[in-house]
Amino acid sequence: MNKVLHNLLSIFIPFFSICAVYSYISSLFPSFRSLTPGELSIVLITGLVCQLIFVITRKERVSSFSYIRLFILMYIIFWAFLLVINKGSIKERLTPTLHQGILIVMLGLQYVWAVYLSNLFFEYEQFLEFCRDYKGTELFSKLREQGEITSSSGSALRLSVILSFIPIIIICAISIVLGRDFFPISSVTLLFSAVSCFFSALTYAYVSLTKEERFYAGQGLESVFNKSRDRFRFALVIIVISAVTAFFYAKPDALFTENGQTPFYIAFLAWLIKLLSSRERKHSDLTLDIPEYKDAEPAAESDVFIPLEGVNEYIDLSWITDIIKILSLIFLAVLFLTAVFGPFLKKDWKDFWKEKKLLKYLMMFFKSFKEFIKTLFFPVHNEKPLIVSEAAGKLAHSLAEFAHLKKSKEKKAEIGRLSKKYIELCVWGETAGSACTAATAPFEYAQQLYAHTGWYKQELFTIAELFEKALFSASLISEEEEKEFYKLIENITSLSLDKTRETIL
Amino acid sequence: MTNRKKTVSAGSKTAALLLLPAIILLFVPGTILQYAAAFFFILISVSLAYSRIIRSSIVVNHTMDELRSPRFEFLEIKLRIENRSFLPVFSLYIDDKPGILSISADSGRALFHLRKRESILFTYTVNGNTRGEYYAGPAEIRGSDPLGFFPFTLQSNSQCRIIIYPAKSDEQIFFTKGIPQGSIPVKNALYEDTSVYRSVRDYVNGDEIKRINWKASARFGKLFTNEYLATLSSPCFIYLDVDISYYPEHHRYDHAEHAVEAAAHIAKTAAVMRQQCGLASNGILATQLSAPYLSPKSSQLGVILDTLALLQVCRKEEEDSVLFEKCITACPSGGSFFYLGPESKKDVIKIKSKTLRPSLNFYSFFFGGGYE
Repeated sequence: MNKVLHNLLSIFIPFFSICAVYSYISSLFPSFRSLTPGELSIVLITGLVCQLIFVITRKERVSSFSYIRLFILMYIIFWAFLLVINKGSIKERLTPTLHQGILIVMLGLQYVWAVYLSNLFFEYEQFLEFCRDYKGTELFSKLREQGEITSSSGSALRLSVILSFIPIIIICAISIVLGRDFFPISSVTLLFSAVSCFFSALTYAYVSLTKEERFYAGQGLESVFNKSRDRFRFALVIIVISAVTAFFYAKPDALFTENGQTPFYIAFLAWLIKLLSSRERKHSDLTLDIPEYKDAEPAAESDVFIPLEGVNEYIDLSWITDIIKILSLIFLAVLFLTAVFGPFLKKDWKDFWKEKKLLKYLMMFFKSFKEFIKTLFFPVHNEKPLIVSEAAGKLAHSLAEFAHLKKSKEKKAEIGRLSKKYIELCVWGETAGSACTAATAPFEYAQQLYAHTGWYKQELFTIAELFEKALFSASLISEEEEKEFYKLIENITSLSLDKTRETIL
Repeated sequence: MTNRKKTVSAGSKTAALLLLPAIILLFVPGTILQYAAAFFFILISVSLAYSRIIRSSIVVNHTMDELRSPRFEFLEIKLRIENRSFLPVFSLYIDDKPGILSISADSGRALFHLRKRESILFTYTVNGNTRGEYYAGPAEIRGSDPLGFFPFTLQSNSQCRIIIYPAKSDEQIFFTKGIPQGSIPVKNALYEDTSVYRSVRDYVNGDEIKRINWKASARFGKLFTNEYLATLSSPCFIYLDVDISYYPEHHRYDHAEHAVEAAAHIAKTAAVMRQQCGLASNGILATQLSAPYLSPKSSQLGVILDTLALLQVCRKEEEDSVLFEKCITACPSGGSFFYLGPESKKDVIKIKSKTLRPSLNFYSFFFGGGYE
């Protein structure tokens, strides 16, 4: 949930904030054309694409220069776009109009803001990742040891709240200074401001929630992470209700300053300025005669002796500087091209496309987004826990302990996934009258189960082989093997077996 | 003082958060400004109301006001947490503060999510490693509205008193001497109670004629002798010497603790045997700032164990013979007098025991050495 929310906030906070500020400024000056829906959609789509690329580059663990590279590429694409849509010579086509210039600035600002926000949220993602492996007192002691991770994620999130509130503060400050709307505010401006307010409040609610998460995780209470979703959902409902209700109060006049009446603080300021200016006038009555300053006479010609003066003959070496200039230009161009386009020639880039990683990432994003929406709007029904016997419980515990010994997180996760399924098989076996203890090895259990049931010899031994490979091999098992493991267990467990009943004499 | 400061700062925060949008809403014109002010005013007001409602409707109580347990045993403390409001409560943090009892046990802290009008039972275990009187609670409760604008901290009024008794002992104590016609069954014919018939057996030379069961003898044509139930009564008195200065320096507190444990064990055995039991000690009761003295009575095991749980060692360095003499006098004739004290007093106690009245059964247990 967190990652999807972070990505959404990283896209929408900058987009709506920039749009709200721009829209408000354009409503102050009616001669200033506001952005068309097409231009707005360009900004939003660019933001979405940039965020997507940004997340992928982070997952692929590329260098930090990739952010700048992406920025440069974005502008190259933008100028290429201008080249197509503008008319005239190439120079005229490349020169953006005022609105295109504003769009360029908006895109740049949005990109920088989104990247910064995303990095701030990423700090918290790291904190969550860190906490995932620990529980209770272990979590408490680990967070005590690594206190920096808690404090840095906390300060990053606080900064994100400040950043989300800045645009609405700017709009409100301008509005207070002006005192009254010069021209009627358009509904688009109001909508952008409302959405901006909504996201500011949402960020605040989320950050206050994470503040509690950090505090209680520091106390060793890992259950705090499971309880956050419901609270966030409730906060969202309150914010939506407030945002909708507030539209009824969105009027140009305040409750006590109606019909064009000057607001009290403007009247007070006007009175204060008037008072001060009258004092200034009295002060300016006093005049002082100051003598005028005159420039000094031009200095007389210097009679200092200059050596080699008047010698015109010299060796022309300007070609060297020209060569240096050209070389340095070539060097800079090569450097630029290598830095920007270099990664596209590397093997990693080819592998990225060969392995269809983009499609995988897109599928993953889509899936997590779907889950996020599902968990946000519909109550989550936890899966019915598997009823396990004491022996199966002990086995599950020993497998979890074994997984904990592994250093790699991926390996831990793999053992966790597979052992969950393996326990299902053990429970099935136990129902059939052949229990698996914590001391029974997978192969041993496969033999035992086959001897007891007399079925599925090949399947049982394949399961045991795959599970032992996952447990003891240093590398991860392949996706196909994992799928096969699940499939075989499901095939076996789908068969209902009853314990052999004792013969009643 | 800190709480007052906190309350003042929370109050000023609330006022600032509500007043600023309210003033803008009332006096400052401008469509967007009015919208923003209304939005934040509604948001903050709802949060404030939410926080106040759940704050006033959370009730936390201990299910038991008093709990007792021997040393080193795990003890379950239960708290009932109730949400009496119509709003759900998110991330409610409870800290019952069991203090030293939480070492090697649960910390007494947990997070809860309560639905409207939900009541749950929170159970955690504590472990008393040291004898004495402890308190769990008052529980600290932390919560907030869903947006986190108004967090609050409450303290419940409920407390649970925990008395940790001396540790259990496996040693067996037998009352073999006393006065007949009691409730302790013994195999000694000396304590036969002729009013309680048990069985008949074959006549043996030397049996008294009055013990012969004539009816049974007539029926079977040979002599049978009546057997009666042999029981004794042995009211006991425990004198516990916990003057720490007499115990050997090495592990002296452990030896004194063993003496207390032995005293508790004797008292428990006496209670099981339905015997009167009294207790006196030269140790100090922190609550009364005096040495405990309980004259022998039946059914006062609870009082004795409570006294032993709260008993603290003393350092007098001079022998208090007055209390000892008083205890000897108070012990009923035929009863058992138990002396539990340091090894270094062995000789003194031996000499004293010889001067005691013969009807008294004297037992002495010495710690920091063996026992007689």
